[in-house]
Amino acid sequence: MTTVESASSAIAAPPKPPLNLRSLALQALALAIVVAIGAWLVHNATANLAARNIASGFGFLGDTAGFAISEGVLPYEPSDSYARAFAAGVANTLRAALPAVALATLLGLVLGIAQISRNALVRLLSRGVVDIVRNVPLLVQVLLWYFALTELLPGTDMPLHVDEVIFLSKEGLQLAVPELTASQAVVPLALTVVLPWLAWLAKPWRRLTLPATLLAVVAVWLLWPDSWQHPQPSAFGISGGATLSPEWLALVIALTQYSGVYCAEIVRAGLQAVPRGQWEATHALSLTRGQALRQVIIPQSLRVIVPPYTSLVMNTIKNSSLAVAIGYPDIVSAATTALNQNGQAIECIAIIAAVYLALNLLTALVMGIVNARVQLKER
Amino acid sequence: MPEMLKPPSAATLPERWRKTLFGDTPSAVVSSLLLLGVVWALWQAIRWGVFDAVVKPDVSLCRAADGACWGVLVEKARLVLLGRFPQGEQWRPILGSLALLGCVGAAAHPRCFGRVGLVLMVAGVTVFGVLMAGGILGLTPVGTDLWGGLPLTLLLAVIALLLGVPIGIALALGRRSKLPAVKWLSTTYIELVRGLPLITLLFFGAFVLPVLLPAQWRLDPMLRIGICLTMFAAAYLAEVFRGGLQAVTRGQYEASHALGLSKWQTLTRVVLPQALRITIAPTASLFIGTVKDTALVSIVNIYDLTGTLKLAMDAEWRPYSVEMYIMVSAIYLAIGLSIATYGRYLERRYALK
Repeated sequence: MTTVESASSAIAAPPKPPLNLRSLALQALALAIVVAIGAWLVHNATANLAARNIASGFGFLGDTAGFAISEGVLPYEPSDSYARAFAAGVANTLRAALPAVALATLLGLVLGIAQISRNALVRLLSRGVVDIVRNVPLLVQVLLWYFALTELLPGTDMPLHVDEVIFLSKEGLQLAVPELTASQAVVPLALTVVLPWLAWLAKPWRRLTLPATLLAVVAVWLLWPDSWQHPQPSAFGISGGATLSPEWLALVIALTQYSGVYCAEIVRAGLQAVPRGQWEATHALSLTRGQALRQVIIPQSLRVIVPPYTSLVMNTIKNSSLAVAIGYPDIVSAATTALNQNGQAIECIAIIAAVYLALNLLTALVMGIVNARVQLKER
Repeated sequence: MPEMLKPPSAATLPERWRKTLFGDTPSAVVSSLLLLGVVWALWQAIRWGVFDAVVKPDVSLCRAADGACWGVLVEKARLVLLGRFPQGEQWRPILGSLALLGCVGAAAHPRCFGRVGLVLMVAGVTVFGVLMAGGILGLTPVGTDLWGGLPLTLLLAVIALLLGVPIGIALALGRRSKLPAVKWLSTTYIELVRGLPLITLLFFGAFVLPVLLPAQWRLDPMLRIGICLTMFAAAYLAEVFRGGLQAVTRGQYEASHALGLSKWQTLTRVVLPQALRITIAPTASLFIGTVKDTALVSIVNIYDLTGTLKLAMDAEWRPYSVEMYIMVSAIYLAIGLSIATYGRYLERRYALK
């Protein structure tokens, strides 16, 4: 073996390509130009910053931020550091982007399947919705929803409400929440995790057990707590309960509808990419249309859907940066507030960039795993 | 011909509709509910927008009415469409936009593709720029801070695409280059820009660019934002064109090599025409995306169509913003749909027979 190999390589080894001086020179030139421009920019920046008396570097992250953040999941006080403020901003970005991604996926699935419906009216209406929402800038939709939620809804003294549980007014959406101490919350939390897991294990009856357990979980959360904290409306605002601000609502609704119609197009394209023969085969097996979609068509279309869906998720996360237009305190608005305070534009913009690049990378990793699972297994 | 050999007669339109809408029970239920919903929604919309609407630009009348206040359009349309351009000079943005649209429209005709189209586009932008900026031909100078409204939206979109397409092609070629340095630089640029929200780039243009450039340059904010929009569009266009370039088979390169074409000739006569033909549809949707993206410049205080809308809604007229949003949305919708229609026309025209 070895002799044959060495012999063939001795005979057939391609001659080494001559060192291409021209291409080397071209690359060196390209690199030199980029490095020179970079150096020139750095030189300008140092001169400008010195002239304007602006500090540089990330030392400011430990200083007291001093600005307030109106809402969020991460506890934050104006006396906390800039680093903490940025972390709260990132948490708020995710707090808006993740629900929007989930809801947009649902909307996209419904609208996408509606577009291949046999019913012409359903097709026509979903097509119309998709065409209109897709062609209007997201910013206009965000501003319109924010206007509707803050100007057209009734004031806090006479909010729209469902019993004492849900209140909707200019101040957003308030919900009654159960009053639970940590130890009281253990049982419902455990049931929430364990019941669906058990239902998932009971594979042949999943279609029955899953909805049943979901109902059971909801019932547990409604019945377990002894007391509820109800929102109290007054002329000066609504206190108590859990609050979803109009900023969050406007951003999530607008993102949902905008990403949802893009997702609908992705789903439609994916469903239409499944060969006709598959549909005909389901007819031959006398599957109903619902069965055909669930068991044959959608699993195959996922292969086509997942790659563009990945970039849709990334776009939705990036688009959540429009929060800054309506004052929802996401990372962009935290960083630009910091920028206005200390003038360190390069650092603040770099932080925003780093956050979004990291989120993109994370999305790519997660969706890469999903993609590997749905791809055709060829043996 | 015997009776049984005839094809079944084609169903008439009402029959076809009855079959698709009320073919089986679930379909009939869905159709009835949807029809009821559509009729109700249409009725509400007509009641709000026509019967109960006020057309006069009079706030007190609007407050008394239940329906839409179209008067806000009469009152504010000029401000929203043209921005804060000086009152007496407003023929200039109108004429400039018409010239720009005319030139773009003419250049969009396949007969003008190539040099003629390029000259037309540049001429359109130049005429627009001269009319807007003034300072020559006896026109009073108007600073870019007073530009606004629809003309500005059109200008930003046209500039971003006119410059974005060649830069995008260059980046796509760079990313496919055999030279590692060129490939690496192009890839880094494309992925970096595509990983960031446009707002970040606009803030970069508004706050960071002035720091990075020599203090005495003082670039106009409009110019800085235009550069950022262009660079953003270019990165996305590059990825679309790269897809097109990848779809051109090796045989095409080898054939042009065999014909003795130079690299430049291979690119411009053989490869690019095919790559661009394949990418008509995604390019059209990117063009629509770029027009929509221009709305974001309003966040960095440039008064495009979306910016002037926020500017125009003073305390008195603010309650009737929805009517204004409808008008602005309709303008974006019209631009988007016409680009989509044009894209489909090009696809048909250049489809392989």
